[in-house]
Amino acid sequence: MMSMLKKALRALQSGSRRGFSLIDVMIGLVLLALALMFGLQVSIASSRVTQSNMFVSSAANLAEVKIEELRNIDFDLVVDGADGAQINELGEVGGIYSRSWTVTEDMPEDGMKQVTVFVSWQRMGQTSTFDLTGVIAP
Amino acid sequence: MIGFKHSVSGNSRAGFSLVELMISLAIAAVVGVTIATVMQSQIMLSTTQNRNMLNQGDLRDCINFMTEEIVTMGSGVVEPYVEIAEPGELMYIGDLNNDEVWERIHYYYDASTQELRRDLDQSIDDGATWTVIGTDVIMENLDTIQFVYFADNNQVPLDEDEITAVEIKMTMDVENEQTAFTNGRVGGQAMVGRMTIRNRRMN
Repeated sequence: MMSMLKKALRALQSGSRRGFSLIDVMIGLVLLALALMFGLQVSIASSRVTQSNMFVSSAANLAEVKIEELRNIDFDLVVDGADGAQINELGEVGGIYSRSWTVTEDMPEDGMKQVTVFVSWQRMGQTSTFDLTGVIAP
Repeated sequence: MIGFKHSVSGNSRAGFSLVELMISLAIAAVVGVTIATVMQSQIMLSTTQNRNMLNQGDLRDCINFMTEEIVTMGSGVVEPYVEIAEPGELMYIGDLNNDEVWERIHYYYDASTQELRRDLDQSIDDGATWTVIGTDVIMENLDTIQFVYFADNNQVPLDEDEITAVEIKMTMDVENEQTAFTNGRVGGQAMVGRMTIRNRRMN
């Protein structure tokens, strides 16, 4: 970069008509490529965040559905449990989400049950978990 | 590299030699094409993701809307009940605005337009005759929709009167490709929602 500037300056001062050398062009291109690649990294990072948000959103949904499901069964039958297999966004077998739930009795008041549903999934070697707590009254 | 020697030697008045120009153009082309390819795939990815997120938002809005409406209808003065319970449609009767006048909502899937529609009717004579209040499209570009009904303890209900909960499974259409940079709702998304239904005929 400096050599280019110096040359341009010298050209102005001396009236020389010497242009860029091949090496100048190559350095310029490499710098340009680096700058563009940096910009690209930012955009890749942002789309990763978008994607992981979508997984969180699906997981939250599956947790809500499970709590609604537990509301519809006899109060005595609301106990700890887990899905038999991994499920997809629709709660059907064959996805990436594992779902389990724990029940704490007499929380937050006597006679009530506090249910926490955990939904976890693996992506790019990382395990993420979403949990949602709800209260079921008899 | 004759041209290169020329320019460092300092005595030449020439800028680029033809060879230099061609080499630098070739390098520029290779770098340019590489960057363009990577950028294009990145733009495609983020556009698809953007649409997927919009789809997911739409699905959530739609499920929330139905949940709220069914809960509101069920908590009115009129004792609510389920009239039609099919995989592709649900008709529910209750009181939407708590004014003791019966309302009837009918959600149904129109496969030809891929829309989920909602009819709202009202009856001033407790269900003997119905007047149309309005008909809306509440979801577009739906690939599939399925209403799954449950009786107590999540059993399969024998008839409409046993229903205590409904699960709605929706998937967006992936085939419905629109132009890449419009607000077209492309990209597959699926969502399930579940709501408890108050049913006066249940015992």
